[in-house]
Amino acid sequence: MASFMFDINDFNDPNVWDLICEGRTKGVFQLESQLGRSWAKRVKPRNIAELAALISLIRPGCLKAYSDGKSMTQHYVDRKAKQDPVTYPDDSLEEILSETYGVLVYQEQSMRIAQKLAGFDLKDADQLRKAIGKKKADLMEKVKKSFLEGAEKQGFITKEVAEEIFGWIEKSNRYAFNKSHAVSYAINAYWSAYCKHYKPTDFYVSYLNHSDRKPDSQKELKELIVDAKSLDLETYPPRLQHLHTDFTDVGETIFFGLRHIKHVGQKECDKIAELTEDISEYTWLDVLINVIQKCKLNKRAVIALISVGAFNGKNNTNNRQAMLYEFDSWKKLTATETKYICANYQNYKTLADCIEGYINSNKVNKRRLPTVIDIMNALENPMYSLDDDVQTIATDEQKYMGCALTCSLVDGFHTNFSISLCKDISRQTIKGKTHLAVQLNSVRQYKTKKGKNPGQTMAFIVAEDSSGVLDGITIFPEQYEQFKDLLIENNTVVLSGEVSKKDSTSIIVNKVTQI
Amino acid sequence: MNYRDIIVFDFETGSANPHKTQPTQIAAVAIHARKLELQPGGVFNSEMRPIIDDEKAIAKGFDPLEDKALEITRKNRDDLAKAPLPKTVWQKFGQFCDKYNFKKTSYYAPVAAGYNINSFDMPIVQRMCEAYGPMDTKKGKQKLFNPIFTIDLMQHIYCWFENNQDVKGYSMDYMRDYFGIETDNAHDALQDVKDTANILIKFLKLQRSLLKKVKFEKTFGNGEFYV
Repeated sequence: MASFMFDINDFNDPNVWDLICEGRTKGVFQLESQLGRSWAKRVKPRNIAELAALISLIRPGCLKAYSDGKSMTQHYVDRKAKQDPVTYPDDSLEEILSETYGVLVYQEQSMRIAQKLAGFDLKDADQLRKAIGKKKADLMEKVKKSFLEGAEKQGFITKEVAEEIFGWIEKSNRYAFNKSHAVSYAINAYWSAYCKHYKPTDFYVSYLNHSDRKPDSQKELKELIVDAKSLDLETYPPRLQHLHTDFTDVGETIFFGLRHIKHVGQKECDKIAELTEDISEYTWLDVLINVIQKCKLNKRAVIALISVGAFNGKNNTNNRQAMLYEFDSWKKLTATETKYICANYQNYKTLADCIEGYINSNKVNKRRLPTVIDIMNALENPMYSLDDDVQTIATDEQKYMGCALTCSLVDGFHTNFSISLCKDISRQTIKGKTHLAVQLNSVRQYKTKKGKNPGQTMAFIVAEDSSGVLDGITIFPEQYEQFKDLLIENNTVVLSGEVSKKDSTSIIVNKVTQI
Repeated sequence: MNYRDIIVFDFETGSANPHKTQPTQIAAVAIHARKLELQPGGVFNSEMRPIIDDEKAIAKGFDPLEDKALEITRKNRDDLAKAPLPKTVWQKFGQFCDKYNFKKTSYYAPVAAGYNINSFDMPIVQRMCEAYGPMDTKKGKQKLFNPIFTIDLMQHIYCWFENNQDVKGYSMDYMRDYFGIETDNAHDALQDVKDTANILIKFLKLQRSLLKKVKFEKTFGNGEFYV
């Protein structure tokens, strides 16, 4: 990553806070999950304290801790947005809880309450923290006794209120988080958001190169690439001019790293990296002889590299299916035969010509002659079409790289009505009726709890086209029942519907058509 | 569940016994499973060189080429002697099928389909795979196609027409006539697979439209059984 300087004590950049508030936090420390992104949009933090609260509030404890029918996270959001009034168990706690709108978010807040109301010293307060954090019942009982006695001695609150407040602290053990921890997380989150905003290419290259540390590395890769695309940062498959082991940026373009391609191991990457010649102008025959054969690349790796377009040539003109077909024929030749061709290939334009030259050289083993002639004939008269098509390119790229970079499965689809792009919806440039030609990434079924007939199945869909991914797609029970046979992962369909009035980045589907 | 593509294929052969016959041609079309349409570039067609010399064929355990079979398939020994070797053709056919296995596992391998393939073509596939691969060596079965599902259109048609007194036979020739398909290029493997694919798609589309109107779930839930 190229070095760049920023003031590590300045947390007031509005661009960075905008990025966080808009939920564009894929890759941002602690906020990169779907959960983090969606709550960032709701909490809308504008300073480190609010960001620390957000990071604490999206932990499972807070989201699952309900009071008055709402999670603690939702309480915080509603109070911050002034939809609910900020209340305290006792007015004396305002000073401690006001920064989190009356919601007990941090363990340190419990400690301060105990210090203020029950006169705990730091040691006693730490005992309380331990009892809360480690859920020790016997210690909690002991601390409760001290708390009630201390509160009576201090005399700020009655015994009943003291018991109520302690009960409240006790409940918080399910979710309260360590504030110092949360603040340090928040600072890191701010810095990573800063890098994402001001050095997006470096940011994505770095995160893409570390994606293999994630449990589902291909999913992570895809999410990062799609996210980069939303900022008009394109990622391309490796090319002869850009065969790098890791993801690499060239200007505003990112090239896919070889080691992240399925079946291409570190050994194969090292062999390619050791090539000293300039291979950028190589023809397919040059690649076959001087890269694949010379480096002794393994068969599965070569098939993967051809399939993603790594050997497509300078002007991206080499045909992948034809290269796969020729490579298969090449593997049918013996070591002696390939050795002869490697030594003499400069005299010929195609592999079939090379083999013909070998046959004419009279050096062919007589028993092998019919087979070699057969291999040559099969090259000259292919048994099936070797044209590249959008579907094969997209499917192969998805298989080997986790996502299709050159084209999407729905590219080339034509219709009479106007088709919108996923990008148009996510950028809120479309209103009213719309049609999307998409590939379905996931269809998450959901049983309705409310409405006329609770218990019916509806679905939330994530879909993509070449412009990006759209995750705000809803199909209600009636339409789901009608079109469920088409709602299969990886299927390509036209989704017709309307942009939601509540959320203009999502659509409600009323018709699905197979394409 | 229809994420496995369908490969409709057909052999032309030099005799009638699938366990000993020599293929003289193989053709196939790849059908997109959900769209039920021809995959882009999804056509395979090649002749195959049999052992022309009858004695040599018998010595290797094959049936010799029969003149009647050659006449039906409109082939002659001279042309077949120039055709690609079975090994070359089979390996390229394997590569073609592999294009339609999007996860490259046997679970996602394309489904073999054709007319009377269970009795005739699949045993040949098994033999070819034993000779040239790919084989599941543990199970001793071919692994070019999906190991579980096959679609034999002849079986399928029998189930539809078993009570139709108008249908007098189940041969491909009879069906071509019955469905109003021209017979000009019949017994050319490529024409045969195209005809088979068209009939198959017609049936699958019909079934899909019916499926929406019939409730199969818990159909015996009322306890009313036939036997």
